[in-house]
Amino acid sequence: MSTTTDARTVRLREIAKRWPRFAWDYRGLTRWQSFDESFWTGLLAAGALIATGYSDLPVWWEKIPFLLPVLSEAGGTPRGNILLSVLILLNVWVLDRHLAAKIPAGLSEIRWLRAVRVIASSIPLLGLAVIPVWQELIRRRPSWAFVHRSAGPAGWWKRIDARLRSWSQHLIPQIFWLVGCQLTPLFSGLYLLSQCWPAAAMAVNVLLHLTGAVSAAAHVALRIQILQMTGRRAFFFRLLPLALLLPIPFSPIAALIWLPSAEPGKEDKGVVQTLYRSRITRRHPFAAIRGPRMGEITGSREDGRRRASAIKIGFLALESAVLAGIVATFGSPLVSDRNVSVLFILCALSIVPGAFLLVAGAVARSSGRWQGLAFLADHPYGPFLTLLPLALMIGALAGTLAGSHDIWNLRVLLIGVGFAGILMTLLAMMWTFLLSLFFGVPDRPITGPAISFVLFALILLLSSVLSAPTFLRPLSALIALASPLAGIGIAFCWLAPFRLRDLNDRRLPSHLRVRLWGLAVTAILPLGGLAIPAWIRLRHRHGPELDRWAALLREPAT
Amino acid sequence: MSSTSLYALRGLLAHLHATQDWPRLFALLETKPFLADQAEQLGGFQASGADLETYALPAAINAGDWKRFLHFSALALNLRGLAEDLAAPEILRALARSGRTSLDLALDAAGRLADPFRQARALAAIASGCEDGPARQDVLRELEGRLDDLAREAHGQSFFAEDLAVIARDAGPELYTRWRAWIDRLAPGQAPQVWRAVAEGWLWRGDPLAPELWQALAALGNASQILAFAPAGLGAMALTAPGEILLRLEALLPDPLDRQRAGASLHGRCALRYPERACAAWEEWSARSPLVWSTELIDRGREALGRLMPQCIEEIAASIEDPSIRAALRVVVLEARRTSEAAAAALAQLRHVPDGPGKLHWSLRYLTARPAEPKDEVRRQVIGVGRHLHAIGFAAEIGDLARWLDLVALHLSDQTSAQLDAILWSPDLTPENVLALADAVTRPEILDLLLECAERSAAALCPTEGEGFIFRKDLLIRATCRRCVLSESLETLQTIAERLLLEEEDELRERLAPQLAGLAGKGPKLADEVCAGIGDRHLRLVTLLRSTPEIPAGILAPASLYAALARIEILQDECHGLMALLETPADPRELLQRLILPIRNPQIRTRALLRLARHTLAFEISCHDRPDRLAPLELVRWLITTETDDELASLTPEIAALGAEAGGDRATAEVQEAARQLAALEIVEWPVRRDALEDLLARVAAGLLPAPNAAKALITILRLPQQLRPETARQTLRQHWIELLPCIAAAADRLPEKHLRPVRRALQESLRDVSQETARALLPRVAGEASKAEAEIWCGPERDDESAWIERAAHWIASTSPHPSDPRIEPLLARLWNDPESWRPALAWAVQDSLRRGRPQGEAALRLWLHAHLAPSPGRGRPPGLDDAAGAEKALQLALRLGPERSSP
Repeated sequence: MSTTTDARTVRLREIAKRWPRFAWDYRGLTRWQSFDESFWTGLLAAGALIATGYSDLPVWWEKIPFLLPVLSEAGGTPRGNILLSVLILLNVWVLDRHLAAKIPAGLSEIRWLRAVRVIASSIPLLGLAVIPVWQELIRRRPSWAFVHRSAGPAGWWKRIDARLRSWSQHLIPQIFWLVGCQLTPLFSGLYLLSQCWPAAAMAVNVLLHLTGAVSAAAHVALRIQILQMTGRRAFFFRLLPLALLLPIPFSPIAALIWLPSAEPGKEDKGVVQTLYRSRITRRHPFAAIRGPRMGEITGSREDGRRRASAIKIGFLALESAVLAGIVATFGSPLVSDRNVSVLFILCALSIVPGAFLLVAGAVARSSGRWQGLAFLADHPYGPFLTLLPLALMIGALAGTLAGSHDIWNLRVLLIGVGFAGILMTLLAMMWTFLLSLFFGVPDRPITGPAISFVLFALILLLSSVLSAPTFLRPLSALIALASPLAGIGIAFCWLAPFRLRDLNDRRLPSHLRVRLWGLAVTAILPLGGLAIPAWIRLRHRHGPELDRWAALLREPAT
Repeated sequence: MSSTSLYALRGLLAHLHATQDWPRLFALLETKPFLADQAEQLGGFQASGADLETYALPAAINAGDWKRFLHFSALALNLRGLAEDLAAPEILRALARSGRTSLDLALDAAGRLADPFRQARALAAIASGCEDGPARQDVLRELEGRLDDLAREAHGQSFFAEDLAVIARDAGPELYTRWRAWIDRLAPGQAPQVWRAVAEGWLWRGDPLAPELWQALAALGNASQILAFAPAGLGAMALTAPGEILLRLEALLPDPLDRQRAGASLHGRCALRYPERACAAWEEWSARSPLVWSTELIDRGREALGRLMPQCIEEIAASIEDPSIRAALRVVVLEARRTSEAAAAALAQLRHVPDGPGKLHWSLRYLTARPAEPKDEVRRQVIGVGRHLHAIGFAAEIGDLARWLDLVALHLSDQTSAQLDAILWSPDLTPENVLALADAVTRPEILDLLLECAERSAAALCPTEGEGFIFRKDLLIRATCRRCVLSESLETLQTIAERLLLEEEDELRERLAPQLAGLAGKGPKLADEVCAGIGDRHLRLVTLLRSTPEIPAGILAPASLYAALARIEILQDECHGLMALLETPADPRELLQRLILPIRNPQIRTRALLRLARHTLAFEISCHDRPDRLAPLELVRWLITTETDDELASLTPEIAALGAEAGGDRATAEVQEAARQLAALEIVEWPVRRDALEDLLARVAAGLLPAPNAAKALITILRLPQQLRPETARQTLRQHWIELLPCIAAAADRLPEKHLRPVRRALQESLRDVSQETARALLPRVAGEASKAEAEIWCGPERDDESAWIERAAHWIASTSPHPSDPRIEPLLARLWNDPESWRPALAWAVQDSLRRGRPQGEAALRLWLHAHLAPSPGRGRPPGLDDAAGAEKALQLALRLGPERSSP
């Protein structure tokens, strides 16, 4: 694709570099306005889902919850308790100053209201509910809440207030606040409760479930009002509060309900609705800076390719599991105690490029700096490059354990993988939700997380079957048969807009024909998923050329 | 020039046309500077424009030479628009100053303006630029006649008063005898602004004793209006006896306090140029009438008061009881003298002033004026004021905040950034205040910091991103102007220009150049440099004329003026939009980047994007087994821009129709959503929304959705009067519901009986509230307001009547000049693309016809003609048409000059 580098484009790039896009949401409203009730209820519900997932383990399953690095290590020791208290106080202070700054000049809140505000905002996560309530109070300004008062005497905090407001426009301080002042006290608190006061842990767990369900109910009601939802989507979406009442491992169903029913799936959101909701940002020439990058705007054909890749990766995991299972059955496991660490290191190294694409792209997109890395944000295949080695590794491990009848370890592995998948999905969902709020990224968050779910669900299924050795052979045969059959569909998706018979067309240049044949063959063959990076490269480098040739081959008579 | 040459210039084209000698006619225009000579020798562009329209265009049409037709049409279009462009007062004044030939050109331009009010304003500008002489008297006589005519027809129109005020500033003194008669024709309440303009006209003349000036001031009557400009204006003149002038002024002001204000202002202003004279007059004046002291009075007369003898100051101070006023007096004295004694006296008085905005204001002025030594003491005082500002959350006058920042930069330079940040993030600060701050600060380092954080400030201060973007531009422009003027250099301009869009940079340069031109020394040279960087040729010329009094003669020659003012951008944009449709859209994103996104006109770009989306969609459907229907929709979804909500409302039916191409439930949802959003978009006037809703319903009636889906969509629309939110929008819809019912009924009529039943039920329910009388009101709406002729055009040709129908349609286009970006014209464009050979000549004659009615009409017709000339084929592309498009672009480039350059002798 040619890139225009006229003076106007250069200027636009220069302006875009300095423009604080994250200060407004994708509709062009300030966050104070755009973070409405639906946002806060959604955030609360998502937070409650993660927190209940963590606290359900000791309460309902009598398992000691695992120590999350950094996040749940703050409490317990005297030094840790001091740190925890400092973090909580810092959180209270930050929130309190933030809310106090929103009071219009000449007004002041009455004392008991201020005390309630401080106490409520001291609770990690749940304290965030104070923000929408405060927004509403300031909008209404009831006489029982505010009194007229002139400005008080000077104080050092007034200067820090201005600094706080300035910091609140930067993403990095916000991330530190979220991790340090919200997540760390929350998880450390839950861990401490489960260890020291089981009864209190039970009460907090019930409270979290109820809060999650109520927030989800409010979120659903608000979202259905706002969005253009079909009846079926609305029905499933209404089940969300019920799912939040369930304990782990069933509560992640909420994420499954939430993802397809919630907003950013663009194929379900009408063009008219998008235009009206974001019409403030569509004024020339400002829109040229605001809009998504050209590489991010794709159609159904590109979606098909991504879905096909996801399926192929799923099959790759199954195929590697079957292969490892077969090898283990014959007594020489692919993964032994000796080489498991080597395998882990290799896999960790192999996901580095994909992870780099994801992280660097996200950083470049989020910050005004490091714009040189912004091209990485355009790279659509980061998730696939990350998941490919992961799928291989997990498949090989699961297959080996199943083949050697190590059922206990297999279960542990699969539960761990399942939980990691759920966590990943939720994090991805929240990240995309936040990104779409800030940038209106035309992304389909379903694709990435769906890959994780499909992958882990398949392995879960596989494990239950593999644990009964009699099913091993028919299952292996089924996978061996299903893989090439599904591969034909995958090849169709990746070749589009070409048809299979076009590959023999002599008009097509030979270098393209060879590449397309390679793509089709690897798409159909088992373990061909390993070639996914090559497919991506083919589309990335020859996409426009391929599209032009496809059009030429089938040009209608003029 | 000989009479033979003049005869040739007037009649040569007519002769060549009469003899049908097309090659020589074309050669004359293309190889010789005929049009430039014509404009120069005949003193205007009228003859050139008329020759092009009457002879050159028909010649090109008859010869079927479409490239030449486009070239000549664009030339004629620019000549038509030239009168409007030349009407800028700066250009007219400069032309009037530059000799007889240029004066004729200016008069020709003024004479060709269609609006009589603009014509009068143009004549006033010419009169103000002319040197005194017979030519000027002629212009003034003509202006007088025009104003007489306009006054007869004005009947109290407000815009007439505004025009009169502008004219009065330019030519007020010369037409003095006539003003009372003209002003008497105005509505009550409009007279003061014109009288003020007349008085200002006299003040600029610099004759304080002119009786007409005092008559105008007396006629103005309003004391506050007189106080607003007269004392300062009179004080700025070279007054030999200020007391006498003040007495005259006082006679116009009944309130003694107003008289004191006037006296203080007049003496204060006078003291800037003649301090001794002003001080003597002040003493005489204060001895004549004892003054009632106030901080306002002291501030108005500060320049004179500060220069009074110390003994006199002590006497005044002793007579004042209020500590605030005493402190103000000491501070203005300090501002004039800047001694440590004066500073000590001011500080002693300030200590007694009670806390509040007054104390803050005078303290800051004290700190600004006091000697900078001892440094520690100054720093301590600045910090003390800073504490107070922090305590009140920087809720202070913007001038005081600017003073505070200047002091911080001077005495606490390490804290400058932090303190500016504190002000920018203070809760009560508004965008307007920040812009005023940029104008008020005097320290370059503050301006540098403001420029550095312009984008971040936008995020802090503006509720929407659109407003933030405009604020960023305003702040960058104002702070850069101030910075460049303060430093008398263009260094900041170079760095800031990169952070502005090209048109924004032009705006910055346009504002900066006159400010620099007003500076002594290298100011005018810098102004020239700034003007040279302006991209827009018209703006460059106007700015140059505004900031440079001496213009080289060559710039105002007809050929140069034409080159500076000719515009082809809109036609180029239309061409680019059509070129995208001529190519095969295998890779629509590439077409978008190459052809559509660079289009400068937002409406044309939006229309071109929608057409490209349709083109791509049609191509996908015709070319591929499994078409990608989503890709074109996504391009529209993320790249479309709409300048106003009205434009969005008008485009909604088309966007919904495009979205409906996705098919199934999504198509229904798009139509339902479009109806809901249109009904709820209260910010847009109802007639615009009604037209859009009717368009949407017409599309449903024409089969946009399959019957079951159409029934669903219609039922949803019929329920809107009961279900729409917000309540106010629902009420509006209920009020106007009757206007939509015929369209809904018409759309429902086309449904098969099976699907019609529920729609009919919903229709009956929605009619429940409609009375018989209201129902009768439906009839005219059903009958429609369109003329029969227009209806024929939209219905299309009858069999064997194609060519006659095209003639009628071309005639309709020539008379109404529809905009090619108007969504309603789209069906006609589809017919036009299908049969370009028949349409091209018909529309060419329509262009010639439209040109007579002005540039906008001619431009709209020529853009439509381009559609016939390039005639894309949606869904397929037409690569051979790309050669025509390249030819069209070349022809348009040729129209940027009046003709070939004269070969050097």
